[in-house]
Amino acid sequence: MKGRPMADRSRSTAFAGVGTLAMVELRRWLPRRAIVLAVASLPILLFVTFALGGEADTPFGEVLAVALTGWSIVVVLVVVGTSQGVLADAVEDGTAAWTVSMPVTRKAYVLAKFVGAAPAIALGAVIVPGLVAYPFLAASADANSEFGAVAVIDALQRDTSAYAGLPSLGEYAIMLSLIALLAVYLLAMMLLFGSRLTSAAALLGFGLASAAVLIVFNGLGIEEGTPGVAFVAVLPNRLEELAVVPALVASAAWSACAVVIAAWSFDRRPL
Amino acid sequence: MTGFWALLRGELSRWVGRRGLLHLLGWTLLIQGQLYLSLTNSWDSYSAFWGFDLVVNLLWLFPPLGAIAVAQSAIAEERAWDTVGWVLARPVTRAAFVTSKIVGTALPLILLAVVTQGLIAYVWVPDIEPERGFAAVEPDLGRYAAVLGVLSLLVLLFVALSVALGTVFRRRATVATISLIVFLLFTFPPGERSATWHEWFPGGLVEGQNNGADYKRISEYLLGGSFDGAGAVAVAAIAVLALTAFGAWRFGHEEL
Amino acid sequence: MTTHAIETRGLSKHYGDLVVLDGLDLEVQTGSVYGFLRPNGAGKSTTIKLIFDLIRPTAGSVTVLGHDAQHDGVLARSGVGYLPQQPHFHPYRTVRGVLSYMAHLSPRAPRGRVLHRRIDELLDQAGLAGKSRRRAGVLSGGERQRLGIAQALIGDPELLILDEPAAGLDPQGRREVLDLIEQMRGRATLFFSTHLLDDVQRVADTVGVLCAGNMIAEGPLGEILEAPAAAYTVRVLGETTPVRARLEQEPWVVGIETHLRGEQELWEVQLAERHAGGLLLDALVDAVGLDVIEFHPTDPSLEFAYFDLVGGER
Repeated sequence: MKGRPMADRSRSTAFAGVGTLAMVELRRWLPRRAIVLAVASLPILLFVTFALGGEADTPFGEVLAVALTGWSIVVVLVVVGTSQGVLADAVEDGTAAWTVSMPVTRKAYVLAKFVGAAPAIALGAVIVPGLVAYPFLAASADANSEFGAVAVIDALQRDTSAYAGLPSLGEYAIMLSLIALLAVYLLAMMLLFGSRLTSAAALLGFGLASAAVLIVFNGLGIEEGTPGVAFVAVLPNRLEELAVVPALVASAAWSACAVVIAAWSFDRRPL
Repeated sequence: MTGFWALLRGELSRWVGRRGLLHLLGWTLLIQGQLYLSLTNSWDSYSAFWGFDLVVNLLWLFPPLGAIAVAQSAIAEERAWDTVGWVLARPVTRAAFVTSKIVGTALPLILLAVVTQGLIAYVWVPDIEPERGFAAVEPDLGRYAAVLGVLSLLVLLFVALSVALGTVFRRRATVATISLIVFLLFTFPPGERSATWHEWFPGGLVEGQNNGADYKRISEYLLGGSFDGAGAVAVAAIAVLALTAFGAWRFGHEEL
Repeated sequence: MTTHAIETRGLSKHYGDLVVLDGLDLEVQTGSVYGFLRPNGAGKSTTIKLIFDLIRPTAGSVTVLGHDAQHDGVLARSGVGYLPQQPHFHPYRTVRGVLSYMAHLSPRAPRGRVLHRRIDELLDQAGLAGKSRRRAGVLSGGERQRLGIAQALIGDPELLILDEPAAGLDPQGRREVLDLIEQMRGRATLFFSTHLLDDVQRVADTVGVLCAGNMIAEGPLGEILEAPAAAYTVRVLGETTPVRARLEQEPWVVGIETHLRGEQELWEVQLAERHAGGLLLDALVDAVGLDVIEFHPTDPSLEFAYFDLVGGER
């Protein structure tokens, strides 16, 4: 077909160069961009929580649920916003064409983009700020607390298991993992859209739409097989009902599928 | 502001043709499609909506997001194409350049995403109401125009924000992310909403329950109530002017 | 009417410790064709950016068509047409759209039907008449250059600033650009920067040589060409090798460039002093086994002058 390149069929070198390219991509994200993500994400999480906290008689589980749900939406926006150009910018400025003119396949290039960016996004936007915020979140569980350093220090000195509804660190880590997988899924979707689209408006629009679709699935009650399970897992007592391992695997599978389709699509794109 | 009209003409000419048609089609599908599905289905979350309250709901949510998506690259793309120096070598001021970007991006979006969709909805939504057990209500056209005006102001606000951020940050990803977070906090500020926020913050105009049990303040105005959001509208307008001035000042000091 | 189309006084630009321009004094006479010669990194782009107020000077001033470039920038730029180095246009605009856009930004450009005709003329001149509906984003480098020249002319400028006007063009295109510059002589002041010495020698009547942020020579072309040492063209036959080796030992010979012409050799002999021509002739006449067929001064070349000046500054 006119203008469409042949797919790369050299199986033995199909993923040659992935490691090098992935390290290059990772170095682009770490440490500076990842730190910026974390620095942006953490205060928002704390702000959301403290603004909600301090309400008398509210079980901490509910406070945390609303805080994490709101924060998850922020994570969605941050990830879609920051990763919209992961592939699209490289195509626009010519570095993609320059890179694939070397002995690396286009599939390897896309995979490397994902492998390099995913850890930075997961760590920077979700894991690190989430874990750092854990002791601070407990401060909002105190019905008499007000936003401020005194309440936080006070809370840190207490036994946090005394707060009803506070998830254990393990449960909290599972919640963060699901949110991180949601973020990684959105990164994969931005790679998919970036493999075909050049318009910035279209990229952002489709990125937000892919997150909105997950919310629609949640509304229809089929969240457990999708990355949108992250929005549900933070709700009070829902984590106990959730099959955690299948949920983690399903979320990861969606990301993998998106990356595979992105690689296939980019393989056929004229540069 | 020398050169503003010529630059604006250049910006608007970009929307004549394929881009404008795609936007018209996309916004119509998005807004009218959602409107139709929501009003003709018995989905719990929308079943109690009064039709025009849902119109307001959709027009304050999606057009500003679209504004951010389009305006995030208003300055960044000129830098990427290396056309900034070429344009500014003409007898135009930098302030005119930035202002034309804001107006030239906001105007088509307002026309296609707010005004056109609002007018289309005005034509068919009243016919749906009786089927759902509501009395057919056609808001007063003047009030409706005023509400569309306020919603247009919100679009202009986010265009101005994105363009102003574009004069500071080189990467459109950064501009988009910050604008999206501001939008989120603007429309869903956490915590109890104080009277001050209610009165002065533009988000207070569209505060209301999503299940239709409590119409938005701006929707109450459509139904014939008084409009008590003058403060919030003024704040939004002042914010637009301030962001435009900031963007013009910031860009004026940039070494190209 | 001002006598200088462009005038800089003590113009300096520093980026921290990096000095890009250092007290540049430049005068471009109105109506002249000024060739701005410079090696890479000399500060040419910086000078042009300062003319258009795209960057601010560290010290000094720039006046364009009688207006201060910084404080009256809009007035200064009103009569200027500009061809950037490697011109870029909005990729979504058509070729015709680019010219129309530039015309509307130029107060002196025609409007309405006159503009339409003017665009047709310029497209014809640029060889882009058949591509007027093509998007600027898909043009080749040479086509972009031609479009760049056309858009520089659309506003009927008093001053044309062309940055590497022949870059990216084939020899035919290059000749057309030089012809265009010749045509514009008398109608506008032309200021063009290039590293192609032949181009400057062909069309410029004034030359400025910029090196390391300083103007190291400026003036009418003839004055620049009188500066270097003499050169002679000699055509010889016979025992050329020993004679050439002896001449190259002489202190008044800078170098001999040899070209073969069948059995004959053509020598370009560079002399260190102008009066050494007589010494050269004596040495050739006295040489045993050598027949001198041609002996005359070589046409003065700007290339020799340029490298003489720039080489001395490095």
